[in-house]
Amino acid sequence: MDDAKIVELYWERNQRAISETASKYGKYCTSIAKNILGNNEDAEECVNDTYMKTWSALPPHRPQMLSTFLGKITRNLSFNQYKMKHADKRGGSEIPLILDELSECVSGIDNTEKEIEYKALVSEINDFLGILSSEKRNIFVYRYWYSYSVANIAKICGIKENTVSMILSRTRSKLREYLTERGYEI
Amino acid sequence: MTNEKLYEIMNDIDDNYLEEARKRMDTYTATRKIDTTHKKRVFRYKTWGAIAACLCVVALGATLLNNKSISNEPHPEQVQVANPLIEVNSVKEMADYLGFDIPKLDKEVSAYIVIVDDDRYPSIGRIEYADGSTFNMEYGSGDISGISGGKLAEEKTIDDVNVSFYTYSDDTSSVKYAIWEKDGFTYSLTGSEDLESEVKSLIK
Repeated sequence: MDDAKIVELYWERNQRAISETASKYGKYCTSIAKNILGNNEDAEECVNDTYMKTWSALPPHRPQMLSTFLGKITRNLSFNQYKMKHADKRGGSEIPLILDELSECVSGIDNTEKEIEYKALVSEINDFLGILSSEKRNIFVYRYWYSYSVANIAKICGIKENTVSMILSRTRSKLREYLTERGYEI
Repeated sequence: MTNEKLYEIMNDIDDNYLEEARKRMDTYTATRKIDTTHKKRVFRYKTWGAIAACLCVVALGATLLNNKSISNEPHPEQVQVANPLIEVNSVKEMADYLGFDIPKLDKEVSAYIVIVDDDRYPSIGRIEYADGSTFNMEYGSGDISGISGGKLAEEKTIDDVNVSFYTYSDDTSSVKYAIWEKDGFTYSLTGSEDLESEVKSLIK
């Protein structure tokens, strides 16, 4: 079913909206949740919560891209659950490795006193992604948004795992440099 | 900022970038399904093709035996192969290609080279020195000396880094080289007269 028709079902408060969402995007959301949480049970819980949140959000929202709207809710819920449960590093989650990698880009200081303009920083990150090649941007998004393993990213992109690791390492350095040049002390 | 906060902030990456990546994933998934079907059909074509090829070889062989006037002149046509070695002028240029800095010894350099891997990405930095020694550096792990069959002479710890020293000998020559890994990179130094001292300089 077309996204616009699914969104219309939400607006009509027609419960078919949930089943149509699950049918079209269930696997997509589950994959995002599982990459973060590392197991099917917790992932399923988050995906169900995603449907509930979407039901509450539509209306008044009318998302242009239903896939990314759902994906962002799933990712947010999954990461919050991960933080609450302090997921075991021995589990299937990629998060411990991903957070280690992202440590290269940040100071590690929780500078809540010094407020960093959240929207401006997001805008800068998006501008940075805009100057990357499509392949490098995809690899970055697969790792730090979709939380895919390096092995899976290598398969999707048809390149070696070592090449993926190298691209990610360079992109992280460039991101840090990009933000520092623009006056962000992150 | 903490790493967790950065991960959270990334939630708001532009929808178009997320969709671009998702579509690529869908293409990959769809291609895997098509490949499975394709292999079953191709098998039959390959079988008949192989039989036809054998018949052609037999026919050609019979013709050649009867015809001795075929020219043995080599074909001048050349196939262009992408050059995996890029020679540059400085360590800075190497860093521009590779995205990481290359340490350099304080001696005369004969060439600065960037090696492109099978995936078309510059991956190895190589400095060839005038004294015949060669230094390699790559992101990752493993032996990148390019030498096969060397014998481990000793292992040492230099500035908290484990360094393996090897000797390679054949009928005509013998060469000493060292390999080590540090901070996610792998290194090798080959043919140096003062191997241990130069490895130490590079590690610093």
